Amino acid sequence: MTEKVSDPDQIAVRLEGVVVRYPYEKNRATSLKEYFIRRLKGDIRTSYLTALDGITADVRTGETFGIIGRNGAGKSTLLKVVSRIIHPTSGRLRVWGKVSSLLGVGAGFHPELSGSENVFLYSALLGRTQSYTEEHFDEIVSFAELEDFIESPIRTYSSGMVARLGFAVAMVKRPDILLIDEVLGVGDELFQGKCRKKFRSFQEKGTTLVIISHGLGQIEQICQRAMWLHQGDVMSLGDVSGVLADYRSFIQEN
Amino acid sequence: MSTDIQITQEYFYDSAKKRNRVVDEIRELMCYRDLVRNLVRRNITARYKRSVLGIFWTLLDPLLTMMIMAVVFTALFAKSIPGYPVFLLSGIVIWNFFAQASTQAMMDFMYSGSLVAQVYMPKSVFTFSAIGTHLVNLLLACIPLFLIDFFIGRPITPAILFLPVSLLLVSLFTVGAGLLVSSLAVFFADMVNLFTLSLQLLMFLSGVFFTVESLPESLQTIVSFLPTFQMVTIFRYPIYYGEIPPIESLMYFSAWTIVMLIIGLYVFTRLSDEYAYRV
Repeated sequence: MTEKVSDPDQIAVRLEGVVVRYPYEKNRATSLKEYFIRRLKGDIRTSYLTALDGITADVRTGETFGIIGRNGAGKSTLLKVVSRIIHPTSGRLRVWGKVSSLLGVGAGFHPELSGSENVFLYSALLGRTQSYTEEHFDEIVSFAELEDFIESPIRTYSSGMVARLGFAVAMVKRPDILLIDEVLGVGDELFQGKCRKKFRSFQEKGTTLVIISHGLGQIEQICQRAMWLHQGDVMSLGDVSGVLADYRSFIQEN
Repeated sequence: MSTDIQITQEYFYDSAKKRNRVVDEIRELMCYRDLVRNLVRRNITARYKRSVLGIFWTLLDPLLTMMIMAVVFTALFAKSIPGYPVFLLSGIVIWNFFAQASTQAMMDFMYSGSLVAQVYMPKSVFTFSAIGTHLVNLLLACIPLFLIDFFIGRPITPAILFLPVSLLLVSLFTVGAGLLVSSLAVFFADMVNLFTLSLQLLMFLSGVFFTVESLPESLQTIVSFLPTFQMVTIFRYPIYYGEIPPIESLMYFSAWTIVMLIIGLYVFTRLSDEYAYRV
C-alpha cells in the first residue's frame, strides 16, 4: 500500500465519484435461524442508505480545506473514507501522504490503566512504534500538562484531562494530512490556544488540513477552499467565500 | 519544506488499486505489531489492576483451577491412567489456551465496534492480541504443570524440548480458528453461543479427560479425526509420555493448521471491508 509515487499536481487527496452506501435490513436477521427462515421465504431485502453519492473533489497539498453542511450531510463519512476507516462502495480515493485524524481522540483509553500506559496504547493504536512513543513521551506529557498525574489510573482524571491526554498523543507527530472534525471544543481556553498554535506550526511545515465545522466564521477565517455537502451530494466547491455565500443563501431560503 | 514533501511521497494510498487482501493484511499487521504488544499488555494488566495480588493472579488462577480439577477427576480416573494429574493438566492447559484464546478473539472483535468506527487499524490485531494474551497465560500455567510433573515422578526427557514446535502449531491453528469465528460472529451474533457450546462438546471428545483407548471402538476412529484431539495429543506427549508426538498426529494436525489458517485469513480479509459498516 505504500510506494513511491510522484505527485506533479500537488494534490493531497483526490476523490473521484466516491459513493458510500450503508447496508441495512429493515428488520435485520441477527440470528442464523431467522436468517435461514427468511432466506427460504425470500424475505431478505437489504436497503441501502446512501451517505455519499458520488463525490468528486481535490484537496491541494498544503491548503486548509473546509467541509460544511447540515447534520447528516455526509461530512463525517467523508472523513472516514479519507482516513481509510470506511472503504468506498464505489469510486476511487487517492491519498498522497500520511493521514492522521482527530476523529475519536482517546478511543481505546482504558479507565483502569495509568495515564502513561494509555499513552503507549493509544499511540500504538495510531500506528506508531513503541520506540517512537518512548522518544516523545515527555513531550506528550508536558503538552497535556499532566506531569503530576501521569502514573494515576485515568478513571481518576476529569474529562478535560482525558481529552487533553488524547490530543497530546494525537498531535505529537506531524502528519501530511490532518483531518479535524469539530475539534476546538476541547479543554480550556489556554489549551485550545495551544492546539491552534500546533495546527499552525503543522501548516507551516506543509501539512494539509481538512476541517469539518458548523462554525462558518471559523471556516471563513482559516480555510482557503471549501466544499458544501448536502445529503451526500456536493452542492458547491471552490473558494471559501463563494461556497459560504451559496450555503448562506440556502439557509436563508429555508 | 521540499524535503518534507519528498519523504512523505512514500505514503500513497489508492482505493482502486488491485490488491491481495491476505498479503495486505499481513503486511499491515507487521506495521502494527507494537499495537498487538500493547493490547496483550492491556489484557493482562487491566484485568487484575485493582486486586491486591495483581499480576500474580495470572499464575494463581490456572494453578488453583488445575488443583480443583486434579482432585475431582483423579478420584474418578486414577486407577486406569497412571500419573493421572499430569495427564489431565497437560490436556486442560492446552485446551484452555485454544478455547479461551479463540473465544476472546471473537468477543474482542465484536466489541471493537466503537474503536473500528473511529480509528484505522488492521482488524486482525484483535485476533493476534487475544492469542498473545493466552500464550502468556499458558506459559505461566506451565510452571505449576512442570512442578506437578516432577513431583508425581513422570519421566522428564529431552522430548520436552519439542514443546515449542507443538505450541507454534497450536497457536497458528488457533489464529485460523479465531479469525474464522470472529468474522462469522460479526454477521451472526448467534455464532457466539454456537461456538461456546461446540467448544464444550469438543472438549469432551478431544481426550482432555481420558485416553482414546477408554472409549468404545466405534467412537475411537471418529475422535482421532478431530483436529482438537490431535492438538491435545501433540502437546501432551512430550510432557506426559516424555516422547516426541507420533508422526501421524503431527502430520495430520499440521495439515489442519494450514487449512485453518488459509480459510481463516481468506474469510476474514474477504469480509473486512464490510466490518466498519456492520460493527
